[in-house]
Formats: sequence, C-alpha cells, structure tokens
Amino acid sequence: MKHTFAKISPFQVDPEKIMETFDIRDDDFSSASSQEKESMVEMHKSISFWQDAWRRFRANTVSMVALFVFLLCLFFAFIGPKFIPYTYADQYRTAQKLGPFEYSKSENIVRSVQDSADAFYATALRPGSLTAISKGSYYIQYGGKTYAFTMKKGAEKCILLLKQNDPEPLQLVSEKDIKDGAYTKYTAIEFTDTPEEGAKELKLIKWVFPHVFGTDSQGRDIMARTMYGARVSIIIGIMAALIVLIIGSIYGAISGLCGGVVDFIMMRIVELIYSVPEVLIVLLLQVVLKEPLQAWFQAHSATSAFVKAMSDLGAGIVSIFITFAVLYWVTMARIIRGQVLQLKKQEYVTAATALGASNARIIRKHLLPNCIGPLVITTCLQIPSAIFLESFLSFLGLGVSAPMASLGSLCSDALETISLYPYRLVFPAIVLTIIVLTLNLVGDGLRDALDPRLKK
Amino acid sequence: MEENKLLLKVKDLKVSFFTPAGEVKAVDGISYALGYNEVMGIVGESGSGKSVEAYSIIGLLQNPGRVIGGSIEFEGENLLEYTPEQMRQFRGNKVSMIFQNPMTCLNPVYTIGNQLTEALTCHDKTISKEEARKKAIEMLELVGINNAEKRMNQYPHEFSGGMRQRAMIAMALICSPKLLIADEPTTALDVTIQAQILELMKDLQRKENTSIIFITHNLGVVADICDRISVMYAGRIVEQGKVNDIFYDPQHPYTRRLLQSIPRLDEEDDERLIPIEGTPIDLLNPPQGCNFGPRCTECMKICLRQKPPLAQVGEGHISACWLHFKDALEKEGEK
Amino acid sequence: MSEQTRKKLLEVEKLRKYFPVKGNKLLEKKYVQAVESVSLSIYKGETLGLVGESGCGKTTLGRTIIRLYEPTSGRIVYDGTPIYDSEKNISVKMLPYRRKMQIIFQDPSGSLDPRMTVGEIIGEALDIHGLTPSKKERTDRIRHLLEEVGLNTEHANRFPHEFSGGQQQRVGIARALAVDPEFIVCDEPISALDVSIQSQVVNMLEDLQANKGLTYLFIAHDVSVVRHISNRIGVMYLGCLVELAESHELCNHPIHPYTKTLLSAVPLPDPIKSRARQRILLEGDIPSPINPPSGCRFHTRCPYATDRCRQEMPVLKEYGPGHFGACHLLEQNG
Repeated sequence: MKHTFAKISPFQVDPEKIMETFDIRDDDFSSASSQEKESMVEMHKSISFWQDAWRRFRANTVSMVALFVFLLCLFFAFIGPKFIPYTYADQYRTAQKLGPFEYSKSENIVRSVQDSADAFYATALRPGSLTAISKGSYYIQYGGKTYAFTMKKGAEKCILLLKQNDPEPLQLVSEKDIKDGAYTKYTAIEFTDTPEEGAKELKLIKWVFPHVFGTDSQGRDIMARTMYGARVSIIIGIMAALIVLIIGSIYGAISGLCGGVVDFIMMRIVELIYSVPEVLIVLLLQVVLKEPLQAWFQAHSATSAFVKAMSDLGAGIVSIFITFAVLYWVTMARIIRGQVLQLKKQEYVTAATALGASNARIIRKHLLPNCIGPLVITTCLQIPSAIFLESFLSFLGLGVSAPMASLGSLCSDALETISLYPYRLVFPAIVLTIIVLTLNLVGDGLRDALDPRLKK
Repeated sequence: MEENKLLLKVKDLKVSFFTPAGEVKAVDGISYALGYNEVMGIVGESGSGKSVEAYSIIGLLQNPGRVIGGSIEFEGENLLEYTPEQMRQFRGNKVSMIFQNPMTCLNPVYTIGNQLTEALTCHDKTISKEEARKKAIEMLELVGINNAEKRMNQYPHEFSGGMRQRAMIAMALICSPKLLIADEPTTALDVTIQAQILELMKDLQRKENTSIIFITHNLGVVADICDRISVMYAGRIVEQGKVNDIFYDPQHPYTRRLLQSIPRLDEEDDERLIPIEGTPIDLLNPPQGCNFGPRCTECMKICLRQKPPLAQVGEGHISACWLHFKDALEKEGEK
Repeated sequence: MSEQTRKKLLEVEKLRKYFPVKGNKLLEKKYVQAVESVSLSIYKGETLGLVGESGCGKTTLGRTIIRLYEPTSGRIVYDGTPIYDSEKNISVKMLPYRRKMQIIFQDPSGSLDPRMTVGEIIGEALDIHGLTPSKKERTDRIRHLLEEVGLNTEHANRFPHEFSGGQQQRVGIARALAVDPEFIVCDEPISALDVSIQSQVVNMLEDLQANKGLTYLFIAHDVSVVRHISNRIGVMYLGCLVELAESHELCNHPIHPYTKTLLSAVPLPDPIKSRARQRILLEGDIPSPINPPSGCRFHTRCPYATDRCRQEMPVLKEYGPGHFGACHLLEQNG
C-alpha cells in the first residue's frame, strides 16, 4: 500500500507508568465472576407513556403556567360563587350601577352596623330587594326557629337585623333609626307564630361583600355573573369538545379503517361540510331551532330528566351543541382518519392480524390506545374554539337566555353602556381571554408532550 | 512521517448530550490522527458514538449535544475555536460529508444541477455560472452518472437510490475537499448498489487524493476500502490499527468476538456462531469500569472498577484492554 | 434428510400478488407486480432462505404465503390442505391456521405496540385463541415464553421502548411462539439489529428450531446470514424466483447471472480476499415493479442478455439435483 500513515505517538503507553497512575490491587487480574459482571449494569426505572408525557409537559414552563392559571379560572368559575353572597340572578335594587369595590347606601349602613353590632341583614331571594322589606308577610329561619312577621300598614321600609347571642335575635329597624351604630327596634311590625299563607321567605345574607367588578343597571353583581358566565362557557366548551370527540373519532376511525369506497364517500361528505359557510349555518340553526326546542322542552321536561337538564341549560345552549354536532367534528374526523391510516400500516397491527385478531379487537386494543395523543390534543384545542363560538353567538344575542349569563352575553350587555361603564365589558372580556389563551397554551404543551414528532 | 504532515488530529474529544434524563457521554475521550490521502474506517454499533464524533468534526452537532472537552485540529488549526462563519467556509471547502440517507440532504425542490452549482458558487464567489455548470457536469460524469447534461435538470426524486448517493458524492467532492466524512454511505443501499458505490469511492479516492473517514457498522465494507480502522464501543475507541492488523490480529476482546460472531460467506463451516452475549450498555448509566466489561468473557476484577487505557500492542496498533497489562505483568514476573 | 423422508409442509404454486396503485391518468389503474408466479415447497423442519434486494418481493411473498396479504392468484397448500386456490376458488378461514403459521418482523420496535407491556403483547396471542383459561396459567405461560427467549420474567411489566433492539426482537419471537406454531416466517428478523446482537438471535432461532421442530422461511437481504441459517436458499429478483438450491450448492456454484452478481457483491470481512476479488458490477438499478421489463426481468441489467431474454420469461427448471434456475442461457448450455 502506498498510502501515507499518520504517526500514532500520542497513544504510546508505557505499562509501567500505568501501574503508577492507576490503583491496581493484587487480585485485579483474576477473572471476575458473572455476578460481579452483572452488577455493572443496572436497568433504569420503568417509565410509562403518561409519566414520560408528564415529564415533558412539566419541562414546558409556558404550559405549566397556563395550566396553573386555567386551574385558577376553574376555581373562580366553579368554587368562586360559594365565597360571595350574590348570585347571577339576584337584583339588588339599591345597588345599581355601582363601580368596582363600591357599596350601595344600604349596604354601607349594614356594614357600619355589622362592625359594631355583629349584625346580619336579610333579603328576599327572588324577586326581592335588599332593603325593601315593605308591606306584606314575611318569615325567616334563624337559629332553628321560624320568625314570622307582617309589616303594618303605612310602615316605612326597614332593615332586618339579626344579633347573635341575643335572647331576641331578630330585630327590624327603620333606616332612619340607624345612626352611628345606635338603633331601635322597629315597631311597625307584628310578630306572629306561624307565617301567613303567601308569606315571602327572607333569605339570610350573612355578610356584605364588595362588588369587586361592580354591578349592572339591574343591580346584579358583575363578579357573580362573570363567575357563572365563565362556568357556563367552560361547560359549553367541554361539552361541545366531547361531542366533537365522539362523533369525529368514530367517523374518522371508520373511514380510515374501512378505506376504499367507504372512505372515499365519507371524506367527500366531510369536504362538503367544510365548504359550507359555518357562521351562516350556525346563525340559521340558532334561529330555526330555538322555537321547536322550547316547545319540546315544555312537552317533555316533566317526564325525562335528560330533557329537564337540557331545558335548564336553555334552548340557546342546546342549539349550540347541535351546531357543534353537525358542523364542527370534521377536523377531528380528518385527524383521526389520518392517524388510523398511519397506524394501520404499523407492524404491530400486522402482527395482531397474523395472530388472528379480529378487526374489533385491533381497533379496541391497538388503534384507539395509540390514537390517544392526538385525541387529547385535538379535544383540548377544541374547547377554546367552542367557548369562542358560544361567546360570539351570545354576543349576537343568540346564545344563553337571560337571566343566565355567559361571558359573551355579559360582553354584549356591557356594550350598551360602554362609554359610561367600560369596566362592565373589561372584566368578562379579560376572563374570556385568559380562559381561551390558557387552554390554547395547555393544548400546545400537551401536543409537544404527547406527540413530540409534531413539534416544529 | 512528521507530526505536521497530519491532516486531522483529534485529541481527547468528549461530546455529551444533555437530555432530560441526564448526561449521555456519546463520545468519551477519543483521540486519533489522520494523514493526507488516508482512508480511516470507524466501526461501531449504534450508540457507539461514531456518527456523533464525525458530526462534531464538521460542526453540525445538534442540540442537546455539546463538545465538552478535547481538541480537533485540522491542518494545525483548532476547529473548536472557529467562529460559525469560519466553520461555514470550512465546511464544503476543506471537508464535506455524505450521509446514510441521500434524500435528507438533497433538497427536493431544486434540480440536481442547481444544488451542485450552488455548492460551488457558495464557496467560490468568483466562478461564473457557465464554469460552475461545466464543473458540475464534469463532477456528475466523474461519479458515473450517464447523461449528465440531462440529469442536471432533474429533481432528486427522479433519481434512484444509488444515483442519489452518487449525486451526493458529487456534491460533496465538487469543491475538492481534503477530507470526506462518509457516515454509513452504503447502509441504506442494496448489496449490488453498495458494491457500485464502494468501487466508485475507492476510484475517486485514488483520483482525487482525498482523505476519507468512513463510518460504518459493517466490517465487510471497511475491510475493502480502509487503510486503518478504529473500532469504537460505547463512546470510546477500543482498538485501532492497520486494516490487516485489525482483521488478522485483533487484540481487543470486543474486536475479536465481533469478528467471530458474524457469519461469513467465504468460509465453509456451518458451525454455530459465537455471539457476544448481553446487550449494549445504557449510555445514561455507564458502568464504572470497562464499558465492554459486562459482556466480556475475559472480564477481570480490575475491569469492574477502572476504564482501561490505550496500550500499544504493535506498530501503529493500539488497544484499550486491561488484558494487555496482565500480559505485561506476567512478562515482568518471568524476569 | 433424504429425499424420500422429507415431507412437504407448505407448497406454493404460481403465487401472484399484485398491489393496485393509482395511475397517472384519472381512473387509470396500475399494479405493482410484487410477486410474479412463484412456485416453491418448504419441507418440514427445514429453513428455506429467501434473499434478494429491496423491492424484489421477498417480504410480500412471505406475507402472502401466510395470507396476511390476500394472493392475487395461485395456490397455497399447507400440510396437505389447500388454504388458497384461485382456480378452485378455495379460500379457507385463516383463524385455525394462525396458530400454525406465525411471523417475526424486521423492525423490532415497530412490531410491538408501544402502549402495551411485554406481558400484554405476548398474552394477546393466548387471549385470541383462548389458550390459557385461567389467569395463573396465562402468567405462567408468559413467564415460560420469556425465559425461552432469554428474557427475564420480571420484564413482563415493562414497556417495549425500555428494551434494546435485540431484546425487543426476543419479545417479538416470544409472541410468535406463544401459539406453538409449526411454521414461522422470519421477515428480516436481524437486519435492524446491531452486529453483536445478530448472532445471538440467529443462535436462538436455531435452538428453537432444534427443540420444537420448527420450519422457517427466513427472509433477509444479507446472503451471509441466510447461508448460515438455511438448508436451502431461494434468490428473488423483481418478484420472480430466479434460483433455488441447497445453500452450499447455491453459494459455491451459482448458475443464474443475478445470483453470481449478488454473491460477488457481498462484502467480505477479510481485507486480502476482499481486495483480491473481482466484483461483477451491474449497470443501473432495479426497474420499477409497476412496469417490469418484458421477458426475463433481469435482462435490462444482465450482461449476457439475448433477444430471447427480452421477449420470453424463463421458467424455473431443475438443472442439477435440487438446483433450480430460471434462465434461458442455462437451457442453451445444458
């Protein structure tokens, strides 16, 4: 060979020098036993698919923060209402058009009493008002007893005070009697033992809470409404995504697995639905479905619990679900079809066929479990888009019906008075933005975690 | 041969991948030198670090891989100190690389001619379009592509697998690099095509006097084309020597067992194969001692604790195994 | 084994498998002629090797024989019972035969469901055929199978991705063995493995064959491995079987020009022999199986091609004891 060779001097090693640099023991050059050899290798600990995905997800700071914020939103929407004394429908007549953190006049009075006299005030539940315990019969349950009373004719409006640890805890005082914490028993009422027929129940409100987001023109607390609105929006989002998941994955799996003519026809239907202008159909469906749905609810809600639940949600929301079931599953169907087409060619599916597995078994045991990644991701990304659509429809006045609120309808309501009370739009809009944004970010994070190949 | 006649000197190169599960020492302190006009084979199994090492020479190491120690000297200059711009000039001009899958480095939206001339003009701004085209056609003819004129205007997908590999070799050699790194260039090809490409590479090496680092897991392929061979196992060079030394006088147990374990077409006996037992080590949890220890039939107590240093076992033949020191010890005892 | 005692386990006659593909024009239908009129027999207890380059149809043939792919035409007889016959319109239900014929795949990780544990993967075969009625029997059987392929019994609860390629392939073999098959198609079982692992798997396959009397159809592109493990070897080119003989006979005295080329191209791990040897280099690449050449499919690359080769497809004929070839030149010479 005529080739030139490199000099290999850097490697020259003198065995004697080695003896100096390395720690060499007497028995070092005897053979090692097989146990000793085995002890050199250790198999690392078993990680399941989900553990691995969670590890990847945790490493994604943005998604983790988004998940945390979204959990806060869930807390706000579902547990938040337990911490404030107002509900989405309660109208407090004296507390209209309040700004953030403001109190109405009577609330201020109660606040001042509350500090000094450990007092509570009560209000009629619905319809009712904060202080308008005016003419008529009332009863209230407190401390295991029922107190019934009637306002005398010509009596003034009064405030109900409850003093704990008082032998006579229930007291009614007139507004004008309360001055600097001093109050006197209001005499213009008669206490009876049992409530008269038709008496209104007064529900206790245990404390006065600031209207953090203010109140609207009807005296409803905007924070309470935003909480309920967020709850409605999130429920709609999840329900709609589930509907899309079920219809889309079944349709896509069938199309992908059957292939051939079936696949061809099914995919042309998908394309047809794709080509339809969505918003137009949504609006039409909303308008057309509302009347028959309401009629149907009235006819069946007494007999069927399902219909009852539906009618509680309202015709608007149910028609949103129908819209999703009709139009929005196509993307999911395409994704699942692609996934199934790809998985169908995997050798482990061939192996299962070679073992004699039936088609149903292959779908159940191999195809579906391996589709979970894309299923979770697409469903998660479907939620914000459903929330957005609902908000959009409610904004147009087609979604939820009053007094039920959704984030979209809150924004819509606020729009009339935007120049005077901009915060009524700002708060629900911010909550809506946060929910949609965090869900999208969580969805992105899930995609990276569950299916690293999709990244980039 | 003097020190300054070396083309490439890799010294104690260490490359690690920092994965979420921990540090993977893909290349753990390897050293070798390559002369002008020399073909060096690097043989190893998957995960032995043979490709990582090549990628660090050409500066194409992907995240999360990082060179964490050592030096790579090319004609006396340390490549690790190059700026990205210098590295870009260096790639293609002085060293180029061919890959296992030609499709990954041929751009499907440009014609072969386009890509070849671009490779030229990229490194030599003075060259005219006509000249570049002429050179490209010459190059295609050199790598045995018939109808080069017509082929220039075709897209990679119109080429067959063997043709693509030829086109890639043409692209790698168009700037007359001094060093060609071939990363498993024939692994994805069929045997008959592999034979064509090997013949072509041997032929081109003779004509162009290019040094080649030939990375493969196939001992048969290196036997044919290489002057010297480095055998790698788990990020370290375990044995290095002239091709005949490695094949006829292997010193390291891994090399010996590897040669015994492959069925050979040229031998008549149908004896049972002698496999290397065990599985390749997990680079995340490398053993404390010799990486091959757990699979070695001659494993000694010292192999459990300490990684063996390289020892010279013949002229230009080195091997990293404690057995050599055992032999040295015994000789000492005889005295 | 002498000629008389050999019992045919599987007989394939004029087996054809075409895959439909879309043509360039609308509604135009073309076919990938993956397997074209292949006839061969596999004897009980033997290993028949099948070599050829990628796209020669060896994998398709293997899968068509066990009817993972539905044949286009031809005849398959298993143990005396025809399981497919296009002329007589026989096409039996495969479920009982799935217990007798199994397959081992090339890609060890791709052939194992990533969401199942090793125990579940092996147990699936037992569940499908209802082989182990009680839970304990099932666990015992899985453990036994794992031990049989040289894996640890506690590996049953781990997922495939935690194993090295060699171990994954062992799991794939254990799955195939779960139903106690007689015949196993080994579809490039070692091509994806590291060199040092390949011989482990080859040895294991040999041991299993000796212990259980298995019959193998061993498909690979590496002639050296096929020669080592097989009793007889068939060489395929572009869907056709071009030569079939005892392995020694085939490697030492190949008669078909393609076999000669293939053997001369195999790299030898021996520098002196390797450099001294004259390789037969073929021109060009394998033609597309969608439009295969007329006549002998090898004629476009064959250095000895004549006009007859271009027009007429040669048939497989016996030219020596048990040595079959499909080439017009052979006919002329002898």
